[in-house]
Amino acid sequence: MKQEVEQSEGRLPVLDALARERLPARDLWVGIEARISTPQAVASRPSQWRAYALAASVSVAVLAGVLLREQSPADPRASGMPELTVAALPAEPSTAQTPYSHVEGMARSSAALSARSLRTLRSESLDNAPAMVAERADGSSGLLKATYSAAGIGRNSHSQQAILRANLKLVSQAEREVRRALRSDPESASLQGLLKVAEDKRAVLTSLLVHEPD
Amino acid sequence: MRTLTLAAFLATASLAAQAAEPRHFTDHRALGAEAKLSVRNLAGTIEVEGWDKAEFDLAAQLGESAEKIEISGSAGDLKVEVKNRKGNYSYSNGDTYLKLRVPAGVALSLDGTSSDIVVRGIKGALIARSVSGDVDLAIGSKTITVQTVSGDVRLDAPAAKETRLNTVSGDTDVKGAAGTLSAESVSGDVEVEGGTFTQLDLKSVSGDIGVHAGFAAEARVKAESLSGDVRVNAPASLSAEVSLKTFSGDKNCDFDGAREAADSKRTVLKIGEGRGQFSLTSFSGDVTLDKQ
Repeated sequence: MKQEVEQSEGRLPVLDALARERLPARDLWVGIEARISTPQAVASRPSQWRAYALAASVSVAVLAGVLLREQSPADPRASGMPELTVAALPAEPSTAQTPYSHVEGMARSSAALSARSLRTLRSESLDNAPAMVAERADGSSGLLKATYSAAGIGRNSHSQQAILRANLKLVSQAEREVRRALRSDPESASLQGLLKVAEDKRAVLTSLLVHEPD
Repeated sequence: MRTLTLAAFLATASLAAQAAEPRHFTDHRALGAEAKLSVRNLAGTIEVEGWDKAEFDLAAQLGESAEKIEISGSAGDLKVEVKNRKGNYSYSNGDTYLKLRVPAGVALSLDGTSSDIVVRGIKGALIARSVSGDVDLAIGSKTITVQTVSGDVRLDAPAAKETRLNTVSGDTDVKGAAGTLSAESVSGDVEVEGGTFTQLDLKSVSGDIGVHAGFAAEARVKAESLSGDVRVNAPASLSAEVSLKTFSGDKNCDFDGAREAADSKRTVLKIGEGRGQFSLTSFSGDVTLDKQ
């Protein structure tokens, strides 16, 4: 090994003695540098994508968790949470954390979701009803019957049908929300009254639609 | 050839002009001061104004979908109906506008599917129904019933003693009523600014409920919502047993009263002598009783 070095060192004066005019006509370093740096850039991409993928996975997981939590029924028993009883709650609402704070929070967020979804549905349903009041062209001879219990509002009233269907969707959603709330408070006369309101309205809307041709 | 083309064009234009020209209809006849009057109009507007004559006056502009206006009955019980053409046609202007002037004391029954209903100056009982039309009433009637699906209801009725309002998604806005009032909606808001109520029964599944009114000594007030806020603005002299209930909203009360029961969901207060009964409930909305 030592001999090789010595031999190599011994050659250096020979190399130095070579004619300088034999140098390459173009600068080779540019190509070399490009070849050296390109693999590094390629090598760095997978790690960036891995980071993006990891971030996306975490985001999806968090979003799914939030959605599942919000969609869970207001009744904590249904979701396997500790049973929430009236007696277990403090006499007055408090901002202090209690063993049931997370359950209350969940019920609030679930209820808030219900409110939001119902209001959104209201506006969306009616927004989606084509033409609505502005387009009231209707060649039917039928009229709204003497009472809402009477069936049929007339033929060819497409905009009316759309409105009725949108409202029926709204009522069905409301009915589901009230039933969900009733699971948390089954004895509530108020909720039972609201359920009856929704059921009555659904019956009315169904009777108005039942003889409407598509 | 040019002459023929020009003639055909002029003929077509003339026919189109005739078709687009609105058709008018008028009628005038005797009508009893306390007669019954029912009016039906599928699309457009039903506008009724009370006057002090025992006469019926109708001015109408017919939409393209209307075939004719049929008036039947007697001076004691009159029916007005817009008859529409049969068949599945669509019209660029299918609305028929009815403007009626009738004795203020008539009992009115108004039906519109997509017609707006506007009534002024009537003192007789009134029933108004529409699917998507709005109902706008400024009347002196004592008994009022309104039903809509998506139409909004605006009511100014200082003499009302018995009022029933019903919508699915329409908002309800009441001013000046008194006595007994019930209002139901699925998603509409219910706002009541009234005189003195003996009984209020207000329900909206997802709409807000707001009341600013006076109450009789033994008034029964019930306001209930699933996800809307419930707010009652009562006189400082209120005397009532009040129940404020919400599952996940906030309860607020401006009044000082003896607390008879309280837990996280429900608070019962006795305000003053506790003569009236107030029950304000929302499952997830806020419940508020505040002073005027």
